[in-house]
Amino acid sequence: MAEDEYTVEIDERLCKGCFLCVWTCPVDALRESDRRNERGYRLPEYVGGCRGCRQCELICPDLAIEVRRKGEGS
Amino acid sequence: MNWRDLIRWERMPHILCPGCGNGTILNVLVRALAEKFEAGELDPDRTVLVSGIGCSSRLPGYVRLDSLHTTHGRPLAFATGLKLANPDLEIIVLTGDGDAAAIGGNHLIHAARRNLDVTVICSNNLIYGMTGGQVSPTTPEGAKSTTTPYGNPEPPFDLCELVMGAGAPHVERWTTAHPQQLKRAIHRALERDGFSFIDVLSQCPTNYGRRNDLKSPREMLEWLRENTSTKDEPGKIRIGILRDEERKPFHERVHELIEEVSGDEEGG
Ligand SMILES: Cc1ncc(C[n+]2csc(CCOP(=O)(O)OP(=O)(O)O)c2C)c(N)n1
Ligand code: SF4
Ligand code: SF4
Ligand code: SF4
Repeated sequence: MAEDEYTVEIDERLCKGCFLCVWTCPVDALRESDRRNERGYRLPEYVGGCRGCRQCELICPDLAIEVRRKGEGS
Repeated sequence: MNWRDLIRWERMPHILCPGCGNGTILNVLVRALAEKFEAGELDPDRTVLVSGIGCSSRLPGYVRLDSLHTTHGRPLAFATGLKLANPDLEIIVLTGDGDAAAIGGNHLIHAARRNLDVTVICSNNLIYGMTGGQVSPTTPEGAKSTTTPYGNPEPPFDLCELVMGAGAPHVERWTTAHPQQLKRAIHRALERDGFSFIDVLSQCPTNYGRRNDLKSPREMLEWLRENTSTKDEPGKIRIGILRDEERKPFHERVHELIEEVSGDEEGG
């Protein structure tokens, strides 16, 4: 598989584990993980295949996601 | 300007519950504003956020702009004074369904009637979130709240119909399941002169969802997606641009009148 054009970073300090990002991603590039942040919220994880639609970034109620095209700022 | 420069990061993470729709509204708003500032269409030093009381009204506290966190139901009253005294300010009112339509209902209809030049973003989560889930004027008939434990016997207000009936020239309805469309709606509202009203159907998983078989934020968003349509479909809530017209804003008429009358006095 070709290497992803995008990186998806989740700020674990901000995330509250609502999984709306997982719900909205049209290509299932995000999924629920079993890891928790220091406040006890279960975290999502990026599994690859992002197409850069930025829907996860825009829906996140905690402004915890940053999608970047590789080689660019943001 | 990058949207990150508009967040007061020292106050983050914010106090909103996991999956709260108010968070998505904050997210979309700061990105829309950053784009407007970047394009030079708005000036951050002349842009003010005004809110009332409620979870939705806490949003200005996280944004690095001048703001007024006022009293419950009164953001439009404060905004009226602000706009008349400083007509060049861009004013955005952040309010909830309780704040805007219950205690603040009179301010809402009269601001629409006068055509006050503000952008109102109403986070309509169908409940009083902050105080623990009491019925609001937009709670659907039959829905449960702490004050309607057997189901709400009242028909709800359609806030868009309400403000259109009162004369609002620019009215849109979207949901937190439509963040892209909401961002474009905020852009349009900021571009329009006069009273722009965006009714944002939103989720309060803690105090609405929990009592109404929509436990997770995801279930609430699925409900919003399935029960809304940009076309007139029976049984669905109409979303989209509901009205987009022009009418002279209140402050312009007032200032013209002041000029006219003071000219008379000087002359006579
Ligand atoms: C004069 C006055 N009456 C009542 C209250 C209590 N109160 C605080 S927030 C609120 C309702 C908030 O509901 P809404 O505007 O829908 O906002 P949400 O919390 O759902 O975002 C009420 C009744 C108050 N703060 N001031
Ligand atoms: S939408 Fe945001 S807060 Fe919710 S799980 Fe995803 S990253 Fe975390
Ligand atoms: S940007 Fe789009 S494709 Fe990429 S992870 Fe987010 S929702 Fe999925
Ligand atoms: S009580 Fe409801 S509206 Fe208030 S922060 Fe929690 S989910 Fe959001």
